[in-house]
Amino acid sequence: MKRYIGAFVAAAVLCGTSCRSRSGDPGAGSSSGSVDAGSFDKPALLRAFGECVVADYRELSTSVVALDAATSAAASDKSAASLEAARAAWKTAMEIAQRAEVYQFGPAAISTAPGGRDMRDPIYAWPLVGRCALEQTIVSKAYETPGWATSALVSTRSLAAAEYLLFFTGAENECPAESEINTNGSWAALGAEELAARRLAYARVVTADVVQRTQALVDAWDPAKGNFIEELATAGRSKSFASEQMAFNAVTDAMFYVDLQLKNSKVGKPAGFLPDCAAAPCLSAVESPWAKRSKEHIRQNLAGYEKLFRGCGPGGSGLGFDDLLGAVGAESVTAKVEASLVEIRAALDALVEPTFEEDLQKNIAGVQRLFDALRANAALMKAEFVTVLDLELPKRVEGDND
Amino acid sequence: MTETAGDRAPASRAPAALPRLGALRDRAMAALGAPTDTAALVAFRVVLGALVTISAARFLAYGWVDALFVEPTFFFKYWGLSWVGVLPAPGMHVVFVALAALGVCFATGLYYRVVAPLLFALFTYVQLVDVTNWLNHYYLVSLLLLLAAFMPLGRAGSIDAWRRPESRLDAFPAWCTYLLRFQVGVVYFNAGLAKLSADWLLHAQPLNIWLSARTGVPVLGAFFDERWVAYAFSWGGFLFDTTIAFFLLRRRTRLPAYLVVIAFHAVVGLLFPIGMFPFIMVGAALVFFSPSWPRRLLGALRLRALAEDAGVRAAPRARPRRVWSALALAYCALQVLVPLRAHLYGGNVLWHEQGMRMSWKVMVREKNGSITYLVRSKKTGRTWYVEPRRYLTDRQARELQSQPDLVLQLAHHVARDFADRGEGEVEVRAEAIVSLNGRPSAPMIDDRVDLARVSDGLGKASWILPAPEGPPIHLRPAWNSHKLAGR
Repeated sequence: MKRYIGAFVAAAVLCGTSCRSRSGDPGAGSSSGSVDAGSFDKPALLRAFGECVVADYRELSTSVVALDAATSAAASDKSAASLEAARAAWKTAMEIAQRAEVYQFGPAAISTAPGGRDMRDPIYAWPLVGRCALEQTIVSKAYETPGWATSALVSTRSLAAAEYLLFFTGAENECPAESEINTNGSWAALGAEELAARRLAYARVVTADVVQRTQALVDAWDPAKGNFIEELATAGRSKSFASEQMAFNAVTDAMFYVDLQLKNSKVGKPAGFLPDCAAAPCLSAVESPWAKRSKEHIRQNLAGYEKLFRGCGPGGSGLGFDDLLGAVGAESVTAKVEASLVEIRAALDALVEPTFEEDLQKNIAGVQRLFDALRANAALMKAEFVTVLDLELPKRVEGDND
Repeated sequence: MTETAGDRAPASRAPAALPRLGALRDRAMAALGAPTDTAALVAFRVVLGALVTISAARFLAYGWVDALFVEPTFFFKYWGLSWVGVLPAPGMHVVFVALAALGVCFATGLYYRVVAPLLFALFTYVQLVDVTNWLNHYYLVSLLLLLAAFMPLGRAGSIDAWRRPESRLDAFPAWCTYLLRFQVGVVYFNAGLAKLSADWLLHAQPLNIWLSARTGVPVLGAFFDERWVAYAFSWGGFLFDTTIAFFLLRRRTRLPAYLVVIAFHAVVGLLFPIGMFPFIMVGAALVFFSPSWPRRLLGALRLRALAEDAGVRAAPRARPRRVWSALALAYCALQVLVPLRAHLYGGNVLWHEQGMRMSWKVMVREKNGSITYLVRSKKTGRTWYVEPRRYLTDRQARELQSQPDLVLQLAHHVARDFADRGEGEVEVRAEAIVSLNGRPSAPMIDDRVDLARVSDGLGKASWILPAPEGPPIHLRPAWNSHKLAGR
């Protein structure tokens, strides 16, 4: 027994010595992507994720302040030009908000996730948008009640509600005929002018709330305030993350937004590829029915995903998951993910109709190509990406295992 | 035809061989019936009962009863056991409360003759409700409870023995100890055989993947992305599993071997989320010790009154009945043969998973994938993409992605669901992209096959595609915080 153990230990030490000498070779990491094995460290990657997120949140904060100002101006002067300015500001803010959709880790995540504080929905609640509830609120003018935004359903506020309020100009409502606003004639009694005024007044309350919510999210990450960046970067020693792996899991869980929301809810469902749509296409399921920005939203979701994968700097510079994959010798996985992203972009660019709704009606083959490209990316992420980095798929129930 | 000396020889030897065989059998039966101290098996009973109680309490406390038995709307069935269903709420909560209570009764030896089989039945029922909850160590607990139900473990060191002294035994027959040792030895040895593969021994996978992701572990973690550490763990694990039972059997090596058992399972328990596994294995390995080990321990602790021998030497031999001996032999044969059945299917069992369960293939693969069902209406020709999460919890979906028989079961369920929704007869094909031990992902299921028309069974599944060839991934060391801190 002793001899056996001795031989084993000797073999392990010999192997260890030789392996160490190989990994210490200056050229060992040179082909592992943009960062070589000798200079890579995981806390730096986690910090890079945090800095990336904070930069976009700050940009979002600035853009929603501009949106709020533009909405206030539109609500005050009621001119077509100021309404257009508010709409443009909404589009700008949404481009950043859509990038941030993929950053739902830390305070933006649901409260059951590590560090989660449910801070995403009050900023952009989609798909939680209730048009009828919005229209009931327009009639009741509940938004005028002080502190309304702190207690109102999230489906009646956020940037998703602002889209309806700023872009929809129709006189009809979506509430059932037996709804009180229809049976008592209160909706019908609103003239076109009053309806438009109320929508803008309501939008002003909503955007003001979004400004506060976004600032709160920035503060939660800000090194001078909540400092969640440090919480993420010191995973293994921080309150929220018991290990570095737990932190990487949180980030990749957020990246699976591209599978669960983008692929399924934003493309598959409206296209009728999923069983939820009785008669394809289901145009009512598109993400941006009023501003007609669904394709741009998809584009920005991908941009957020690419920032986490490639790095947050210009042209994908800076640390991203590709650097970790390169450092561990899984460059082939990086190459496949990159190829899948190229195909997704190409499929998206091939949707040339002015709106996604028109693509769904006139170019379903093109939408199918986009869906297939997203499926290929999701399969790659679920199979090889999580395997080589030993990550968990989202929301796995804790339990015994063997 | 002339009879030769050579021809005659076997016939002439037979009468002599038969008595020798008979004597051998008599000696074996005598050895199996030899009286042994009750102390070790009483301790084993206490440990096993306590582990069941703790396990049930964990399920209740952590909300796993809801997560595993209440929230799912679909449950995967074991082949031939589809009749085993889940109880409606709060039935499963009651079951787990009962398990916890029965575990206490089992440990203390209260109504043992009723409690032991009931505990086995209830514990096994819980395991059979949903295949996704399969765990090797709970299968072991089921087997140990089954064996214990046939043993008189409640007739010493128990409330039963205290309440009815006339039923108390001063000794247990030796076969009880031997059978439990055999069971635990089978687990370890087969777990070792499962590691006898190129992936494990030549490529150090999946440990290279697992350890590389755990470089944040204090002290040891700094070395975990070094390839040699993965090799050391792989070979160490293989040698440990294949040999530890033999070292535990030998008196001279038993104590150091048990310390190795503790160290091994402590390390595994610290590194991986395996819940009760280390405790069950460390507890189960106690059966290898001398039947009197608890008395020696109590004596060493100066608890002489508790350490007193109850009179084993005076106890009569209890030769096992032939029918029980035959049953025990059959059980042992099953335990040897069942894990080997995977070889009948050929190919890589870690890929097709036929014969995977009940084979003690513990922690030998890292397998992840993506499953999408393509459902085509035969009536309208319309095709839908159906994600497993539509029907499954996240945990179930996670298990599904690596187990082809579960993919088949869910395909049948999808077909039934679409029929119920008025879509009529549908074809259900599965697009299953899977990566095993970091290999490039490959299709696991033949997506040309309409799974709705494939029956589940024990035969070789032609709809499972061959495993991808080529070696698994070799991860390079990646620097981490601890190394940087030390530079």
